[in-house]
Order: sequence, then C-alpha cells, then structure tokens
Amino acid sequence: MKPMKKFSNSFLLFSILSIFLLLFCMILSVSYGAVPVAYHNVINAIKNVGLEEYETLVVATRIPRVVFGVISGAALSISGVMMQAITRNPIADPSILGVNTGASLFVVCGMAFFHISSSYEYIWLAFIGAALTAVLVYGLAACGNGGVTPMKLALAGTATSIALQSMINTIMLPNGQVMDSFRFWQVGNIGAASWDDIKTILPYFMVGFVLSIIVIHPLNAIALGDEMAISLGINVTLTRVLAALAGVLLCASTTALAGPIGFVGLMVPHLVRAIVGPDLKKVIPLSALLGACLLLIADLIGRIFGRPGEIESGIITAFLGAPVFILIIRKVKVQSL
Amino acid sequence: MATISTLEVTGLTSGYHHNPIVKEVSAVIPKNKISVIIGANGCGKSTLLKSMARLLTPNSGAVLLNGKKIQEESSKHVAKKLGLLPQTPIVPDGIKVSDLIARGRFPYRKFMQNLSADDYKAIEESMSMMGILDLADKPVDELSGGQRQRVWIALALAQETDILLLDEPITYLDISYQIEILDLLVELNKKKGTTICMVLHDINLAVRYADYLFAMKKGKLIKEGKPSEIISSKLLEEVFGLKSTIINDPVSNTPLIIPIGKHLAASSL
Repeated sequence: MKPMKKFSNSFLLFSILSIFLLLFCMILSVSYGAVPVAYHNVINAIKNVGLEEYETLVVATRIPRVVFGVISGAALSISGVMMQAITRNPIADPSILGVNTGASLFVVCGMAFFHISSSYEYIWLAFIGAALTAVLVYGLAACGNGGVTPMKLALAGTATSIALQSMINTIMLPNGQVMDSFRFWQVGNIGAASWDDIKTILPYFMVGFVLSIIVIHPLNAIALGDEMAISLGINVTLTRVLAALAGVLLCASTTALAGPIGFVGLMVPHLVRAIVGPDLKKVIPLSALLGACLLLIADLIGRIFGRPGEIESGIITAFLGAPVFILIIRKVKVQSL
Repeated sequence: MATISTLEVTGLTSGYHHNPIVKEVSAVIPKNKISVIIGANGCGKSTLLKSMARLLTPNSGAVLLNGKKIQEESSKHVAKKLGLLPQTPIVPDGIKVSDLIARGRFPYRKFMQNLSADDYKAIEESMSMMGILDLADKPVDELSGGQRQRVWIALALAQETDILLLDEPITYLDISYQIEILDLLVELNKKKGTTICMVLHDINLAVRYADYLFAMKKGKLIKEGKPSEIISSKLLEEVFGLKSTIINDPVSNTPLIIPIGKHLAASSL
C-alpha cells in the first residue's frame, strides 16, 4: 500500500493558489473603485511616500474595507460549513436558513424601539436573533415525517425568512429615520467599514473560528451518521451545540456590522468540497480563504458596475449564489431518488 | 487473547421514549464467539443491539461492559472496546476509502493531532484484512455494495475493539456478497478473537454462521443457545409464526430450515 500522506498535493496546490488569489483580490480591491489608484501606488500609499494626498486618503479609506471584507467573507463561509456539518445538509447556509434575517430583525428592532446605535450592541442583538431563528427553523424542519431533509430545511428557512422580512418591513416602513439608516444596511455591504468595526468584530470572529477548529474531528465523525459517531465515542449533542455556537457567532457578528450578505456560506464550501473532498480539516481553512476572496470580488463587481455609486455586495452575492443554490438542490434531489 | 472485554445486559428494558421495545432482557454475549440475534420484524433485536452500543439509554436495567455500566463510562474509553456498524451509515460525498477508514481511529486521536504511526498501521491492517488495499484512493460512492460494506467493516476494524456489533450487515447485498461478508467476519473472529454480535434477517445464514443464537419475540428473549441445540420447528413457529421442516445442511452440517408456506403445506406433510 502506498504510504498515506497527511495532505495530498492537490490540497497544498489549491491552498497556495487560494492564498495568492486572496492577495490579488486585496490589492485589486484597494486600487479599483470610483477613484482608481495604480497598483504600485497602493504599496506607496501604505508606505506613505510620493503620492498625491487624495490618493493616500483613498487608499487609507479602502484598507479597512478590504480587511473587513476578508474577515466577513471568511466568517460567512465558515458559518456555512458549520451549519452544513451540523445538519449534514449541503444547502444549510445562514441566508437560506433565515438566520441572517433573524439577526437583521433583532438589529432593526433594537434600532427602532430601543434607539441602539453602537455596533457592539448590534452584535449581541444579531447573535440572539440568529440563534433563536436557527432553533426555530431547525424545529420546524424536524416536524412531520422523515426527519430533517434538505428540502424541508430549505422550505422552513425560506418561509421563516419571508415572515421575518415582512416583520422587518412593518417596523421600518412607518419609521422614516430607521428606514433611512437601515435601508443601506439591510442589503448587506462592507463599504462603510471602519477600523472600529474591525476591532469590534475581531474577537467574535476569533472565538467562532477557534470553536470551529475545535469541532473538526467530531464533526467529521458526525458526517458518518449519528449512530456511527456515538459508536466512535463522540459526544454528538455537545459537538452540535459548539458548532452551532460557532456558526451563529460568525454569521451574526458579520450581519450586525455589514447587514445580511447571503449565499457566501453556500457557494464557497460547496466548491471547496468538490475539489478537496469532505474532510473538514481541509474544508474549513480553504473555505475561509475563498470566502474572503468571493466577498472582495462581489464588493469589487458592485463598485465597478455601480459607478458612479456602488451596488451593495449583498446583491452581488445573491445574484451569483441563486444559480448555485438551484444547482445544489437539483443534485441533492437526484441523489435522494 | 488474554484481555478480551465482556458484554452483558441485565434486566434491560429499553426503547424509544416511554415505549419500551426490549423488555427485561438479560443475556451474556459469549466471548470470542459469533452470536446472532434473530426474531421477526419489530421484535426488538435492533433495539437490543443499539442499547448494547449505548445509542439508546435503558429505561431500566443495564448494559455492562467489563462489569461496568456502559452509560457511566467515558464514551471514548468504551469506543476502544466496543464498536458498532449501524445498518445505514452515511458516506460523505466524495470521500476516499482510506480517509473513511481513518475515521475509525477517532477514539485514539488526541485533540487536533494528525494520524500517528499506530493509526496508519491499524488502518492498513484492517484494509488488508478486508482485501481492499487496492481501493485505498477510490471514492467510496463509486464502489459496489459489497465493496462498500467491506470498507465499513474495515472502519470498524481500524477502531480495534474487542467486541463488534453489526446491525443487519448483509441486508442490502446480493447473495454472493452476503456469503463473502459473513466469511470475512468469521475470519476476523478466528484471527483476532473478536467477539461478534449481530442482527441477521436470513435465518439459515444465521444458523450456519452463528456459534450462538439469541431468539427474540415481542421484546423478550425467549431462547438462547447453540443453533444445533435450539433450532426446532417448534421454535420457528413460536418466533416467526412460520411452519417449517428442519433438515441437515449437507454443506455445514448445521440445521437447515425449509419454510413450508401456504400452498405446499398439504402435499408435503
């Protein structure tokens, strides 16, 4: 027998490519936009030499946007991986499960009724909203015969999402002030990110990320079915709770600051699994890298096609994600027949 | 085989929620032997097996592994002594054979650690025993039913447990694969002394391959013993409600059950 390698060459190659792609996206993201800055000047601006003042300023304002984009993209993507692993369901994703909308509802409520306006408080509201919605949707999908199937989960998530969305609208419409400040936020955008936002989100991201790493082994066992996992000595309930905590924390913190950005957690892990297989030890880091890339690209597309304004990245990811969602659903359906 | 673990159930009542399916069963699973639980659909044989594998918590009574209550032991510790192959384990999309079998090593792995030399040795040995070394890099979802079942058994072997429980391991297989899988289990039992306890639907295969039989009816254990000693048309009528005649299997020299059925009953008797 050939000696088994820890990681295959294709995984290493794919990782290196992903890292380069991310760096490329980051530079592109800083230089492109309503006011373009030449690539070499991006570096110069960071070093703060030989540039027009406005160029330095442009770069300085875009850098937090890029850093925030990397963090949120990675967070959304890992959040998707967690939800898919918990439910053993390829279409579980913060947006399809309605978790993002739940987070939004709570933030909007906080805004309208309690006049909350700090991003720190948004995160907690979003977290509570996301967690409650996750439990509700899973509970709905578990009703009836046949347990939690991909189709029932998608239906429960979509229905819940629509219901919550209409509640958001009900709160917002008669409330001009809330509507104004949240119309933009509602779509999902990383454009307004500041260093303060990054400082706020980073601890939550780190906790979520570390939790997701901790549960890699047990989640890999749960992938073989609950009975097999128990027989392998895994505490199935504890693992699911930790993974759900990680998933909700990651997507809620992003949603609190950037608004609901959908489909990143669906598209990226799906692509990664298709290339490197289902081992979460590979899927999690690669999904984080490529999730960051995807969100930067979506943001970039929004800036290029929305000129002189911007199209919010949430719209772009939804636009890219919808066909992928249909593709996955079709595949799942074929398998279950 | 000096330190083979023991497994027994005492006064076990178990099942789903408040609806006990297994009722006050006491049994000792014979060490180093192959035992088979038989019974009609819904008699509780799978429930008994699942309770022994701690998938179900007993309503009353206990499952004892090496004399200690299995629910009170650390789950990881139990996983090194007792393995289970469920009836329908799930194959993750696109997983390779060797990667799947490597997951049988979970009970031995420390937090965040990669596979150790011991792990690789165990994985390779179990693959070699199941004759699937050449399939190592194949995706599991491309394998035939028989090959797939060998992969799952190899996973259970890589777990290196003294006791292996199998829930209907041959139910969805063609007859040739059924024999092949059962032969492999006999080999495993002979070579490593692994105690095997399984649920089988095919009564004749159960009789041929079992050293020891447990016959269940309506959640109770009604008879146990060596097949040649306990199999009779009276027992079969009681357990399955089936009229049959028993002859000697010319190949294995064990009892062979011939079901009679409705239309032939008059002419043959």
